[in-house]
Amino acid sequence: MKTETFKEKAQTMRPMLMATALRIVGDRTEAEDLVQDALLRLWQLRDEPIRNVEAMAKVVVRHLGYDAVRRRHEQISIEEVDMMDASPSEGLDDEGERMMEIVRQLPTMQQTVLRLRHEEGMEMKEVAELIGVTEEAVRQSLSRARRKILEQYGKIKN
Amino acid sequence: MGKLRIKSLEFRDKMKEKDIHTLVARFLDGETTLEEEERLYAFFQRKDVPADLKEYQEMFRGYAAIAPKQADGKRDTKKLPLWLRVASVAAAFLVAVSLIGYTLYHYYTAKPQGDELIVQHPNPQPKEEPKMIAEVKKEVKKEVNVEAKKEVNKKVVVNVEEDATVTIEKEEEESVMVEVEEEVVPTAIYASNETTDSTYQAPSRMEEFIAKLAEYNQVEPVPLKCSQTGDSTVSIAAYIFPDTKEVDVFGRLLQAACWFDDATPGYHLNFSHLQFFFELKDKRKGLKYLWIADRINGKILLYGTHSPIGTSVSSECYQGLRDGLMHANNKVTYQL
Repeated sequence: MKTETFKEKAQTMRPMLMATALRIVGDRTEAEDLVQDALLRLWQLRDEPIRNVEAMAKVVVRHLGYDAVRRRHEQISIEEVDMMDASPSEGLDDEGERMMEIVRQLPTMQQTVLRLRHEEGMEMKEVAELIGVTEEAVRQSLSRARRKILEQYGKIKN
Repeated sequence: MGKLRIKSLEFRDKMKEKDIHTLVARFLDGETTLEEEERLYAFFQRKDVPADLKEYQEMFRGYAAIAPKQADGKRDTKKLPLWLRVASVAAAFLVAVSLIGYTLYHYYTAKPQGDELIVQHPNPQPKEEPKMIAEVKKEVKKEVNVEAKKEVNKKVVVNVEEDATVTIEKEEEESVMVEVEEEVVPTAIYASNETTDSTYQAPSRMEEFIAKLAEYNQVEPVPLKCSQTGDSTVSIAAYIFPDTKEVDVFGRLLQAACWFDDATPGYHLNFSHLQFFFELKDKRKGLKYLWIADRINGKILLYGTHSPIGTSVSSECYQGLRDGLMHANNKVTYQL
């Protein structure tokens, strides 16, 4: 994707992404940061064959939002009360937290696919449709992500 | 005979292990189905995982931990046979219908007759009221749950009015029906005294109210020593109230928040039994307001600030106060 096309796309997507982010984190400034972060990640993916950039962007924002909310739960904050119903898998136990720590290190594409599959329990076909890539591409990304995670668990042990 | 049985069990376990190995390999290739993945999670929850599969145990437990909770029902229903699914829907429907019926019945029979407060409303009741009631309900529900657990600290936070009675109607399954009598309309009592625009409530009235509340209860403002006070555009006031039922800071704040329509610019209200959070904007004066109250160590820290719209106010000052109170074991020190 060319820089210009990306810029244009980013501008048109921004309001929708803001709405998504705001619904999750409930704070405008933070939502803006999230959207910025998501767009940056999408920029890094501009050469991937993604047909539906909007859908992908939305998914990325959503996951960044959940992460932000979860992090906020770790410390006591003023806005704590706002967050009560925000995330589907908040309040993870230690095992879950360890997993998420590793997941968050994964590159955007792998992370997105893995999270859609594991956090949201989607079928491969659904993931493929949602982010606009082929099922084969999803399977590959997922496989890479899972192997990386296995590697990380091996490292923790040793 | 017994020996044979043990042998066959061992054989079955061996088969199962091999099976699991294959599944793990397929999992890593991204080729397992959701059902197979669940089988893997279930297998690795066991305590007696064979040695050659031990290396995967922690990882699969991690996956199991982030998997969608059973509570969302999505995957559970898939496994339920059709007749059970139909039955569960039917049962839920029945419960809902009986609940509605009961509530309606109670509403019509138990409502006090003839002693309604008659108050002159300057304008139609604000839109936010149903929402407020809903929130109050939610809050009370929480409180009731807490009481059910027999916790020592059972102060009722949501005292909409001193004489507002909260009646617990019925307990069914997990939900508790709570009715807050609607006769008590705080908005009506604190009607606006602006003559030009009767719907306009100046956010500064909230500050005046807090100042009066403090004065009445003989609570002195906390001297603040944070950097922001140097900035003349940012005004901060903080009080530490005793957390007693008589003073009822949370209830009063909530009541005061009800003066404002949720269509007020910058309106953002949130509260729990531990925290009250309220934001408003005054577009006429170009100011934004924020109030936070926290229940800490038997005290209530109330913090209010206003500043020109667009300036960023850091929470440092507030956090300092909060930490000070948290760590001062009942002995309040104002060192920031």
